[in-house]
Amino acid sequence: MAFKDIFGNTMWKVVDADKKIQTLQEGSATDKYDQILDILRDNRKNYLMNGQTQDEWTDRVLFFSFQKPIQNDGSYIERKFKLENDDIYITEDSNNIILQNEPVFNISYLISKTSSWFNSETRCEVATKTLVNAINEKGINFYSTQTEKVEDGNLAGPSDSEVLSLSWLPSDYVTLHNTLAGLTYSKYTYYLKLCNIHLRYNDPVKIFSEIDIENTTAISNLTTSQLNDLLIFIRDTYSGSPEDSVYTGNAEAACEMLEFDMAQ
Amino acid sequence: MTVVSTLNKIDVIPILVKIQRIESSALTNKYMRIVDLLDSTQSNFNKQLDSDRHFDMVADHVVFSETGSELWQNLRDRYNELADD
Repeated sequence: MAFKDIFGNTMWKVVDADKKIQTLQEGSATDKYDQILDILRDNRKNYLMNGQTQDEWTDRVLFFSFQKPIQNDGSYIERKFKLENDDIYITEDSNNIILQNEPVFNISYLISKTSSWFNSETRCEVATKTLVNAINEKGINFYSTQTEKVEDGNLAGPSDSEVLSLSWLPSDYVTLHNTLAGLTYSKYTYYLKLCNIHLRYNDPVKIFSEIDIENTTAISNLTTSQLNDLLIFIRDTYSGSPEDSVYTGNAEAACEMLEFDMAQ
Repeated sequence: MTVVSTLNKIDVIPILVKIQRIESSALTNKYMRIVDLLDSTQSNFNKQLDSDRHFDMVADHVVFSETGSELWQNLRDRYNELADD
């Protein structure tokens, strides 16, 4: 057996890789997540030889893949990177993540999974963000194809009943939404509900009434620590959006309403 | 009751929605909660309001004003009065 293949040698490579990842995480390099993903990719065999399962390695890759900034329009920057085999890519966009030519996180793949499959922090987060991103894209497309104008020349936009019916949304999106919304209540459930409220209603009075109801649900299902974590998650998630975005403003208002209720 | 926190960015509409929902609830200390909410959000009312957007959201027993700071004072006085009853 060649020296490089000795078990202990690969273990040190794993330790070294983890140290590098930790240092990168604590640093401020703009490409630190790309570097971390490269380290994970380069050391995949070593991780698998030293006790990490394929699922655990994949979850870790997906976790770091989604630490990148959200663009102004709310979508993620598309990124591709090579695995060990040069002709195999992980591709990410709002609809699809392909790992080793297997569609891991596209909507069709996700709706084939039962609730128990999502019983993982990373899978739940990535699935929720994938769905919200995909729905937002469909929503933007739906609104942009409206042509009817009102008297002042502005676009009339869809009617409330059209928006509420969700007929513009593919049925598999709705199915996945229902699966994720049915999981044990968490910050991801809240995030999904927030997205859902914005999809269904135009009227701010209705939006904030629904948010207030959701805040009550969150308080009755989560501990104070979990609620604080939820507030951080929601604010972090929207921090990449433009300051004047209605969506971001409403998310911040939702957080402040929740903070008020938590203090009562 | 003291101010629980300063809510800096919340707009007037969600505050009025929250007041409506608290007022229509069965909470025993609901008026004090409303006063607390107003005290936490006073600075957010420092602007001109649009009567079309805000008037219908204010309860009949409160005098509406398009000047946000005046509306805040009217709301604060009225709900404080109800809390004392």
